[in-house]
Amino acid sequence: MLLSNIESIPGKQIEVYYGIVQGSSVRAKHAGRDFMAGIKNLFGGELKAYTELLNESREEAVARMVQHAKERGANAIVNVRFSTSSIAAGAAEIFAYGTAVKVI
Amino acid sequence: MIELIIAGAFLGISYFIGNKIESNHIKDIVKREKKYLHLPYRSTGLKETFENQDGFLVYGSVVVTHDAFKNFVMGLINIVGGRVTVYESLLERARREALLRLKEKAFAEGAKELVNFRMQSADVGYNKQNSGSIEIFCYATALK
Repeated sequence: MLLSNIESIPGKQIEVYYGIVQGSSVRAKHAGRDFMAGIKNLFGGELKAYTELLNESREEAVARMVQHAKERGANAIVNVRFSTSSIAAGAAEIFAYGTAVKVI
Repeated sequence: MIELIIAGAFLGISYFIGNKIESNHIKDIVKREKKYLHLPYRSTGLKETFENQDGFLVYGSVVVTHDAFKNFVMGLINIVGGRVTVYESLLERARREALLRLKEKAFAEGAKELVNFRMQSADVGYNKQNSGSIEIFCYATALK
């Protein structure tokens, strides 16, 4: 599956448009990690546990979007966009969407 | 009185450690940025077509948080208003870090240029009282 966030796939030509595909994922860390993040909050800097969490979450959202596109018979997704929102304490939703296409 | 001393000592420790982390991070960023200076990136290119080139999607992200000292200063600045330089410096280095991660990933896969670069931030605080953990996320299409 080829992905891009521009309106074409470099080096390919778009044959068929299949419409919008999307994928989302909501994840939360266990309380131990939240506690560690609380301690880290005193000294500032990067919260590695959260970076990791959101990355896993994003990969899952992309995987779901790709799955969606495959079901429609597409082999690429163009103009992929991401959005993140915090929906509850310690949990975030990652949402990815794009246009499924067939390229040659 | 004793509470004041404890709070003061606590802020002092937070300032000292937070500052140390920040200056080490900036040094590290400057060092790594030099390595990827030759990799151009731009926020245009959405409607362009690229022939004879391969491309793929890359992204990088980082979650940062303020320290207790920054939080305290923020509380003071909030009374009089104005620029909050302590937060500006935090977000600036977070953006540079996220961009660097994206570039590292792209470079490892043989990218020559990054087009349609996008950056966004989201509050991912773990509780209501202590929000201020920000995720900086950037993505782009890498061209080989």
